[in-house]
Amino acid sequence: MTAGNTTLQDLDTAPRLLPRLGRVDWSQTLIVGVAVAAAATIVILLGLIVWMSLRTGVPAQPSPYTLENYHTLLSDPYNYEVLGTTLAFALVTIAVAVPSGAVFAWLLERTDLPGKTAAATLLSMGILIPTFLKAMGWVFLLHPRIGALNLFLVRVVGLESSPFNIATVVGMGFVQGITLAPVAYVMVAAALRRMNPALVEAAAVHGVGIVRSLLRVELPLVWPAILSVMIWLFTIAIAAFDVPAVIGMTNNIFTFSTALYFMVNPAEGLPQYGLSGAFGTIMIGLSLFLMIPYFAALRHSHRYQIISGKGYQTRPIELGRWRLLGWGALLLYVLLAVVLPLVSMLWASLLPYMQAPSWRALASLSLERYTSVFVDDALITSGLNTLFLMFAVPTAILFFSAAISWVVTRSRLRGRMVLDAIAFLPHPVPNLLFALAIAYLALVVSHVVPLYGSIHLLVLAYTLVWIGFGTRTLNSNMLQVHRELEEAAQVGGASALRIVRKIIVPLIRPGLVYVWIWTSLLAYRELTMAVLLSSPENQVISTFIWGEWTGGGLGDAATAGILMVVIMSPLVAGFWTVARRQLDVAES
Amino acid sequence: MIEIRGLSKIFRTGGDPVHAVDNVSLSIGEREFFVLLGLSGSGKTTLLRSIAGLEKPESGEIRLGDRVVNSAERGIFIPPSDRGVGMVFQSYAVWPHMTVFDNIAFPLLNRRGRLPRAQVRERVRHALELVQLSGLEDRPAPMLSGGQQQRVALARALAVEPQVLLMDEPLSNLDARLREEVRDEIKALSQKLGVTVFYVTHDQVEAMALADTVAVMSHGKILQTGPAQAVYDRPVDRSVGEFLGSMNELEGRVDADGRVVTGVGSLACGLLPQEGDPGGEALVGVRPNDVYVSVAATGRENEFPARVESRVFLGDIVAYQLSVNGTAISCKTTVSEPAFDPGANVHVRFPRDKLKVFAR
Ligand SMILES: Nc1ncnc2c1ncn2[C@@H]1O[C@H](COP(=O)(O)OP(=O)(O)OP(=O)(O)O)[C@@H](O)[C@H]1O
Ligand SMILES: [Mg+2]
Repeated sequence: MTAGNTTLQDLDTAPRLLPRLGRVDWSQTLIVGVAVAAAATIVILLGLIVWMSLRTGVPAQPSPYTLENYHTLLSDPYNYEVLGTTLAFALVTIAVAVPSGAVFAWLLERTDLPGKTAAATLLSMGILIPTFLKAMGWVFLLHPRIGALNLFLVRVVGLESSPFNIATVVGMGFVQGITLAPVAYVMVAAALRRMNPALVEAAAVHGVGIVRSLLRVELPLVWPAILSVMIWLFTIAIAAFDVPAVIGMTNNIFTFSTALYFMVNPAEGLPQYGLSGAFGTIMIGLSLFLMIPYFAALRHSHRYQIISGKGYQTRPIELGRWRLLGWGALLLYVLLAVVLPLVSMLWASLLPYMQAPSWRALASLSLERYTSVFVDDALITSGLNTLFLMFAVPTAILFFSAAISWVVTRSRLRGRMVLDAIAFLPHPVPNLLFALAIAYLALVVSHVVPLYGSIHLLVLAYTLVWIGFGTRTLNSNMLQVHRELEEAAQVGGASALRIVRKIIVPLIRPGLVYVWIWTSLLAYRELTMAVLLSSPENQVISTFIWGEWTGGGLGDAATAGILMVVIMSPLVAGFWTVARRQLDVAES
Repeated sequence: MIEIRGLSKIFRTGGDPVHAVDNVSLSIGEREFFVLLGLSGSGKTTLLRSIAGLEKPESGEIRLGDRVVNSAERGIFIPPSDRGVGMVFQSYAVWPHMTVFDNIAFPLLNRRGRLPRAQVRERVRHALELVQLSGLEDRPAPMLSGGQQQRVALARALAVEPQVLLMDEPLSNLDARLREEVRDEIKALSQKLGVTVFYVTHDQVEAMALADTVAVMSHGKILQTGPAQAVYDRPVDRSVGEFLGSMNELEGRVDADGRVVTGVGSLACGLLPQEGDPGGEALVGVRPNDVYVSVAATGRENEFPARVESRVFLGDIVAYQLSVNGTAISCKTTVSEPAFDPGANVHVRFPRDKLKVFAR
């Protein structure tokens, strides 16, 4: 047996980790190294939060280990108030998002609603507008002092006080719920599609009417799936930053994320890293704990899926005249999620100061803000930075998540499932904490490597947090590539890297494109992590707008927001269309 | 009991429209065990689902008893919940979030004209007794074996006391031995209860064992309907004949005496095909178990000398490959008959009434 030949034994232990003498597949080691490096960074950053929580003082200075931060945190009643607000906000979010998402899923999956493709597109259109912009739109519409509708009702109609107030826990939960409804829709629709339609037909054939069958058969069967959606959205809502920051802070309502933001960026005094670390550690514990019921519900929902021998489409329920109601609900959703926030933001951007809609206000509309904002150098730099992130982040994510997925699905490396679990961790853990940990790390090492304030910190944060999205998609893609295709190349003596490049990548291209585009869109929308890592040098559009907003330039923030949507929309919409098509290809 | 007139169902989901059911007319009598037999994709399920009201046909009419439940022309469409049928699904469709009792009781408690609880309990008990599952009332449905789920599905369909019981390949998910057992139980039960059964399968043995009447379906059309034995013995054409079992096929010509001259020899046949005029081409089909073999000639008609080429024991039957005047003929006998060794010279006989003659 000469070196370079492949033995039967090689085939059996596919990617080996202990190279035998004479044949070292370095490329394999390289892939495993990349995967482990990414996972290790995630773990280190989480560990850093815990470490922070045990220290006091300024990052780079020595400090004794102490539980003082926890003591301070837990003895301040204000923090319990924040926790209470966070939970209430999350519950309202779920109450808005899940029922509407479930109704839309049922309409699109089970009924003969006309124009389903259009309906699905409308539901996903919200992705085009970053959440913080939608939140700003709602402030411009329903804030008690500056909301256009309130101003109209008070000044023009003559009510005594503003009837609406978006800056409440319920208002915030409503806006957050609206932006998350499409997520609920997608998840519930998937559960409905997995269900054996004969289960519902069996009720119909044996005399059970539509409503009873819906309530007693269909709903209980998708209930575990709905429960898992609820928990999932709950973890998103308690970590949400955009809506509480934009809406809540106008009325001093703080949730976990915004409270943490102020611990690190206090109006006066030093950043309280120790305290924020303690708060963060508690939230990490809570989010990880929530994964127990989440996975339990998910397992339950999969157990209910008794797959029928032959997949067939059941005849859709005829809506008849109710179809108008179905489309009415859809259009109302689009109005609330897209049209109203955009229109009110446009209105604010065209006025010199907030006014009630009236003839006089119409007469004072002007494009003045646009001409001044548009030539702002800072905005142009921010725009370029955002574009950079939209290309750098997805590329880095593909690189790392493909490596992790390869190790998880293709190698027999012991502990590969741990890698998978670690890549998933940033999903439930509030993203803000990763940014916090990275900021802290940059401060600690600032006199060695001057990274603080660099755009690369944003690349690092975004990449680590969204790797899990990449691995989840790529895992299932790679599993579909038959092992023998790879083994055939192995027998031919190709190295692991070459096999990945020449065999796996071409076969899972749709999945790769989908991951790239989707994470690029996420990078375009992201405010939370950018704000925490922001400095004058690494401004992106979202932090630019955020700066205007918190600096009191509401009109300029609105103007920049409209510009962001208008200029980026063609690109984003193009991306979105391609991604949808790739997803269809990947699924077929 | 079930009357179908000119029924058509067309699916138009992308590509060419599929005529899943194509102008089908059927008449199924009260208490009849009707089996619809056909290859995969021939439209059986679609026809059955149309009767249940789970599909809405484009044209034609369906009557259940004296009630028109579907008439595309008159705009009548009774929803499935009001048709009063029972149905056993191929995937069983036993509700996994309910116990056995609830699975059977749920329709009784949630349909129009629902029954009082005490009566429901009695019905469930009776249905479980019929399918021999008494005592499993409180078992959650996912904790049942495939065979037990099948019986729960049957009990649920019977408990609504339907006039018509629809079954779509109810045995296809059971293993071979259980399949025969449940098949015989279904037959016995349907006779005992006197229910009209519309049963779909692609297994001709199952069809023969169960059917009072079979219909053979292909490409959305019914090719032949009749008593099981009659269809088996006298298929209207070659494709029906082949579908119902393997067949030796002998090409030939009808001569002036009405005999068919084939490679084996000149055969006296029973019924000639309508267009089987002298000189016309014909195809003679004979099933392997209708070929009789003996060492000595019996002197009866359609007998020819033959040679045994090979022999295979298949458990309770023996299959031979014979050569008759250079034409290969397969033949099956039971083990109780005398066995012939390969190479032996024998005589084969094709009884006139077992020969099926088709036009070519
Ligand atoms: N919902 C549907 N949409 C489009 N085409 C359909 C649909 N259901 C059935 N068909 C098509 O109609 C034809 C008949 O299908 P059907 O399921 O009735 O066949 P079958 O005889 O029951 O087959 P099998 O033995 O495989 O169950 C097939 O060509 C099938 O592809
Ligand atoms: Mg079928």
